[in-house]
Amino acid sequence: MATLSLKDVRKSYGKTEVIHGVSIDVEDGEFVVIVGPSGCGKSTLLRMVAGLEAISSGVIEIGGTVVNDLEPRARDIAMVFQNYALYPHMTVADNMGYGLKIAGLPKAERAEKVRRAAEMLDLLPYLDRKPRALSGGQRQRVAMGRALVRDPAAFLFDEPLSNLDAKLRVQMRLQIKELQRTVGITSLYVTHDQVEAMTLADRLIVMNAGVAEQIDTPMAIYDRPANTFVAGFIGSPAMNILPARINAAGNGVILDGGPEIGLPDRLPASVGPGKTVLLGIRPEHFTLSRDGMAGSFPVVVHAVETLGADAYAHGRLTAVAPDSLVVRVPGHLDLHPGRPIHVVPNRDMLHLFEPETGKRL
Amino acid sequence: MATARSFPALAVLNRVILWAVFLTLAVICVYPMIWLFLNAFKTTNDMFAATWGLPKIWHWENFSTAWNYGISRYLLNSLVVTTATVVVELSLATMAAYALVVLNFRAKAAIYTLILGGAILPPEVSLIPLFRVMAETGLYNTYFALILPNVAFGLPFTTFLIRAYMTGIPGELREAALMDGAGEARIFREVYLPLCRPILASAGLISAMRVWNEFIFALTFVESESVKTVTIGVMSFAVALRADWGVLMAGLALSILPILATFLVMQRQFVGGLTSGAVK
Repeated sequence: MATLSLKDVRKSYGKTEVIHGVSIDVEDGEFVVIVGPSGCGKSTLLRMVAGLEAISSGVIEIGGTVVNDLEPRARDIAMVFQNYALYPHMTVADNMGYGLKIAGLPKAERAEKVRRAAEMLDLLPYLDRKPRALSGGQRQRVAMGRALVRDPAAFLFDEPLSNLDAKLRVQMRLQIKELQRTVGITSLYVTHDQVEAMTLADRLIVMNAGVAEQIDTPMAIYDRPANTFVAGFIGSPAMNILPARINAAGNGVILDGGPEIGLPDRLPASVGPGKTVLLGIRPEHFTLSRDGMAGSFPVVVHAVETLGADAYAHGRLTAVAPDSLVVRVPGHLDLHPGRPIHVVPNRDMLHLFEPETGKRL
Repeated sequence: MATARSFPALAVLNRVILWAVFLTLAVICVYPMIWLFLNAFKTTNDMFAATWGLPKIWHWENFSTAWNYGISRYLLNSLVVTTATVVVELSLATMAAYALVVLNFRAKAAIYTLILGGAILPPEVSLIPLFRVMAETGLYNTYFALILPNVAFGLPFTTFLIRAYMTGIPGELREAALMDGAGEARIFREVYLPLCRPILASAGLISAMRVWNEFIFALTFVESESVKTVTIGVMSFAVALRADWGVLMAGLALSILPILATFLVMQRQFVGGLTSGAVK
């Protein structure tokens, strides 16, 4: 077990910089998840920690030791790959024990460590099988077992659940979390799935275009996204972000479609009356109301997605308003496209962003 | 309706034509071999009396006569040259292919092009310079005089085949092995080589067939009976045994038997190797 530290880590391919200086300190035993859309650089960042990609500048420390120029094998880390990367010609036991064999551990000790890891991962009946004779979930567990037996300073996970079906993914997510808690090994986990990120992480790094946009606990990121990108990426469906301006009294915002929403807090001095802003409201932070109720406004529904317990009503502030709005409503509600529903936003859950920079106000 | 009914008839006709073509090709390819094996059991008189018929008496002794006449030595020489060439060629080609697929180094594409370029060079144009080199270095009339040029001229195609196969092995396997603590040599030996077994079998077989049947180097670079391979051996054998056609046929049959047997046993790999090289 060890701490993991990245200081202003950058990566360039030729003249193109793809990682623009990421810094983070991962505590001993902490589970940190890097989340972001495809191509944001999250896997590159992980591969740089692993030593599979060289860094262009900055410092990577594992357990207090600078590992910038160390080969992957000298970094004392284990990695679980997206496609598992199991050696097809070796049995499950050989796959799991390969790292120990290279380390020169005696056969008996190796077998015992493999057996213990296999027991933890319910793999004992499969130790003599080749990977091709295993299901996707079993292969994934073998890949985890291979990392686990080595008792490394840190685990790296590169989208390990992306090849599993939805049900198995939920099971494995829980298993990974439990396992990490049991062994207490510092872990860095990459995913593009924000649900996976929210459920697994002690802390989240939200990445976009090679920049760590926000590093914080999942709930802190959900409650106070640093900018419109984070606001839109974390939470499903994405947060509604609507153009608005501060009212004359400075205690509310007027949406482009007309309605005015009161603000609970005192605004910063820079946000004076008449200033244009972006207003963020999550779909789950609306309450259905009767027409004419104080603070309510109509949303003209144009599509409904029913999930069972809930439904998502896609609508507009007026029939011709340009911006679409998503509202979470109870699943059994009888909604009809073209008809309005009346909603009241939760005033305590509103977010204001600077229109030019997208930063939180 | 009439058109629909005519389709099965067309299909049958297609099939008949196809079978006729394949059958003709098979007869053209296989019949000389059957003729050779049948006549290997005949005396010269029997052969001229009934060239196409089965032997009246099966003269197995033709084979022992041919064997004792010196074909055994030629077979042994061919075996040594073929085995050594295949082993050296596969070792070098596999290592080159690994480097070309896995490692990143300057001029990688240029080096690969250069290796492939070797396939364009016909062996005949290199005969005189190679002969000089053999004479100067004392390699003339040794096994090396056959092994080295055979390896050199076989390397481009073998490297091409193995490289094409290796590109299909996921790079993540190497990365996983790196994370497990392996170095390049170990990854090559313990991960890539076992996974390349099918292509090594194919490439080895293709190379073995080429070297076993190689004629021009064997004719030019050796003259001693002790190093002559079977292709040159049977030529002198044919001259000496012009009067005893049965023994001559038995000798020729013996000369092709090892490679024929190897091919029949491993023909699946042979075809697999050719296609994997073609599509990847």
